[in-house]
Amino acid sequence: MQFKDIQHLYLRGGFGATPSQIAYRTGKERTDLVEELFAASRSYRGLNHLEDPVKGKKVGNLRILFMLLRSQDQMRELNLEWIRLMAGTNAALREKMTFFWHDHFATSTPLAWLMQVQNNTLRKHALGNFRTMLHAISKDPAMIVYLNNQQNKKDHPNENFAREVMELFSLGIGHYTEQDVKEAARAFTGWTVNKKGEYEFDEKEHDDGEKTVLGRTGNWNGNDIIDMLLENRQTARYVCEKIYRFFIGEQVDRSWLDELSDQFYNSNYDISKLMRSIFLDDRFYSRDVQGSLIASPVELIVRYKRLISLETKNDNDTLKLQKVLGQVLFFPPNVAGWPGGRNWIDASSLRLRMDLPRTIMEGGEFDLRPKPDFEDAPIAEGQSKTDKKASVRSDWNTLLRYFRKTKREELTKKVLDTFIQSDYDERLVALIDKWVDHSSADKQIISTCAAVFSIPEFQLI
Amino acid sequence: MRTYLSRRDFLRNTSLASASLFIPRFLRASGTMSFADAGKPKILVVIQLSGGNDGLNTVVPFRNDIYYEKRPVIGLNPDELIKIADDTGLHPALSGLADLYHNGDAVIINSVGYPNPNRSHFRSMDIWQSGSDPNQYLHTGWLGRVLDATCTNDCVPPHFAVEVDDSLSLALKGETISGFAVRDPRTLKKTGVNPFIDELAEGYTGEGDIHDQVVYLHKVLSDAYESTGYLQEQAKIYSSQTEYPLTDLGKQLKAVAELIISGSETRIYYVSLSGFDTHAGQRGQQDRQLRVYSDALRAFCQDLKSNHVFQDTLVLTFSEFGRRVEQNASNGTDHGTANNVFVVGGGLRKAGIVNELPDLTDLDDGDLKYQTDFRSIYATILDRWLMADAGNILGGDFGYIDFL
Repeated sequence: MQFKDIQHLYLRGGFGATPSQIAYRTGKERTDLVEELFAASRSYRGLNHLEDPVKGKKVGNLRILFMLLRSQDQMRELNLEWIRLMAGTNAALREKMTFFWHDHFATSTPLAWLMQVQNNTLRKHALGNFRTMLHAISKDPAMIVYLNNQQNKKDHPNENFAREVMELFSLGIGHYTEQDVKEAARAFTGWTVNKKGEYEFDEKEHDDGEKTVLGRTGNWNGNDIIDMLLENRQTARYVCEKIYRFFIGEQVDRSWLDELSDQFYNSNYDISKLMRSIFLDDRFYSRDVQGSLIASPVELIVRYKRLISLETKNDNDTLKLQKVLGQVLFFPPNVAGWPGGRNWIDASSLRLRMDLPRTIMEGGEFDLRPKPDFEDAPIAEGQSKTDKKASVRSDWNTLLRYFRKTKREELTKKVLDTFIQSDYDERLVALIDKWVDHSSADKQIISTCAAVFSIPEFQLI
Repeated sequence: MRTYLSRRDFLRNTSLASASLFIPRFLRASGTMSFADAGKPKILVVIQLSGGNDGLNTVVPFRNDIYYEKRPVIGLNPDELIKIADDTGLHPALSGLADLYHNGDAVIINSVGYPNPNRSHFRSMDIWQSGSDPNQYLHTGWLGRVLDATCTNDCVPPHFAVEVDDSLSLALKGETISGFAVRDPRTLKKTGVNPFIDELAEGYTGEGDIHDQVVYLHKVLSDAYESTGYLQEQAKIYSSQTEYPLTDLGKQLKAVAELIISGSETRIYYVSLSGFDTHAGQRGQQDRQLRVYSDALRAFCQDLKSNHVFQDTLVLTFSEFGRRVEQNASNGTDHGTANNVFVVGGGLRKAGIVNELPDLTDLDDGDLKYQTDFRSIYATILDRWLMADAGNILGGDFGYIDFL
């Protein structure tokens, strides 16, 4: 494989790699490198920062449980732990898949412990079987709470989970009726959370009567409904299209998507098999696919962490950065997840993305003021100095070592070719040269890299 | 930490930019946008109260015994209220709004909401900002779609909708074109921190063998550059003589007034005030925030009046939900449902209180039932003020309210 193709594999099947990591692998066979990617994800660790706060405690009711579990501080800790894991892990593909499922099964509740449990469930199944995962996530306490299924009772069905499992997690809109939602909701009655914060089936709240869902009548329970959804080929198609748009591109090649959907369905929802087939396919490496996705804020931040060990002096500023760029882990905008694609970009967010490299290069401060959280108390007047500027640190040594081998007059082109996956206009070379600090070899390398990181093309992976 | 280039070096280097290629679009092409050039420009200012303002302690039904029964501690006494009708009083901090009301420049709409109310801040704000159905997920905002609607020919530039903030709210995001977020137009720096990019952006024609996404990003970049330049110039034209409160909202509205008075082509402005999530000790906190709101609004409207643009400006104030009727154990209130909405401006067709106070005898599990769909207010503003096609933008007919 060539440099650019390997970088493509690592950007899509992970969060990018350093130029030396890529260069080291050039010339190797695609099958070997894809295999290496999967092998690296076999052993992994999850999020383990939080301890079960309920352990050894007697909790009287759910209200008290939720008060015990609710913690904005712990949500922040979870977020930062995950960012560090994404940046540091060898199991990059597994993290990337977990990130995808985090978006697919978007859940937002400040019950931190439950979110850690959910995140680890997603990671466990991330490269496993979608059937097992859909069953597991339907019994996931955070999901149950987020979509109000603990309020879904025989006498007062709550349709929230039943609707979203069809609309967003399996079939997609237009492939079921309102009546299907109503009937399926009855099948999920009694799927609740107990006082320990675990899934529990409450038989006395379960409606065991006859239901007709997707044209079939029986005394269905929740498991039956999930199996019915999985039996429907539309589920394979819907999930594959989401995977396609996330890992391949937003311009969907319908015949390729058909192949993938058939394969996914016929393999009984084997996720690894699907991903392997994508990464081995020539079409995945075509010019139209490479550099066609706009990196999400989290992908961008983690790529910087992998390339130049980007850190903020104050951990909370890493969160601020996510917020102003428009994506905070564990806080998807709603159950439909992040819209992604061009939605990441507006005039202000693009400008911020382009300003960032200069600030990083200077080791300077950036002045980020994300919108306050809804729960925040008002800032007393004259006290708005809480908006302290964020200091960033970075380490350019890896890149310096790599580019010192390059002749100085060839550096700009080399840096562009190293980092830019999309096409770029050749006039860029001269424009960047005009701007670069040529006063020493190292200054030239760093200012050239920073310039390349700040061009719009660098936002494309 | 390494510093190889000082900030000054950086700026010096970047100032090597070729002679400004910034040509405002309005000089380049005359758009055919309906809302943008229909007669005397009408301007919309949205003030978002984030956190869920307690509407029942904002517009108070002081003759209603249930109100005092449910709120023995936090209920407001009739003698502290500003009376605006036989049975209606405004929170004492709202003297600015009350003056506007008495002057015939304010509309109060009670019990505004949507079916199957969602009590999550995030989701409910999502619904209000996108203008969606409660079970629909839109990734564009109701005002962003106003911008989109201009794109049949050439979209308006981003600064047609300005949010005074560092980041852009969903409300102003469109499919093809989004609004522009700027914290302080006066200190706005050129987008051109890397002038070679501006140069290149101008050079891109979108023709030839270039990836769509590359063309797209460069287009956003050149739009940003253009809007930055435009607003920067515009902000220099007029400096307000009116005294504003020194609050963040005061400063934001002052910046908005300066742009309006300077004749900026901006049609939509968006500002937010947070701190309304009053679960505990509501009295002090809500008093402070409502005062911040009302005092800034008063100065803003005075400024517009003395510059003769008040009749062309409409100010919409909303919050993502109201709060429960009953106070909680911490002398606060928890997340509720329907809420009141204010519309202020010099060009109202019909001012005053639009509908009855909420019915406290007919509650839904302790929460108000909505009487007015928020989208009927949007539709009225879209069709009758911004000259946009409400049916298209909202995806349905939600009726109108006759304040315009």
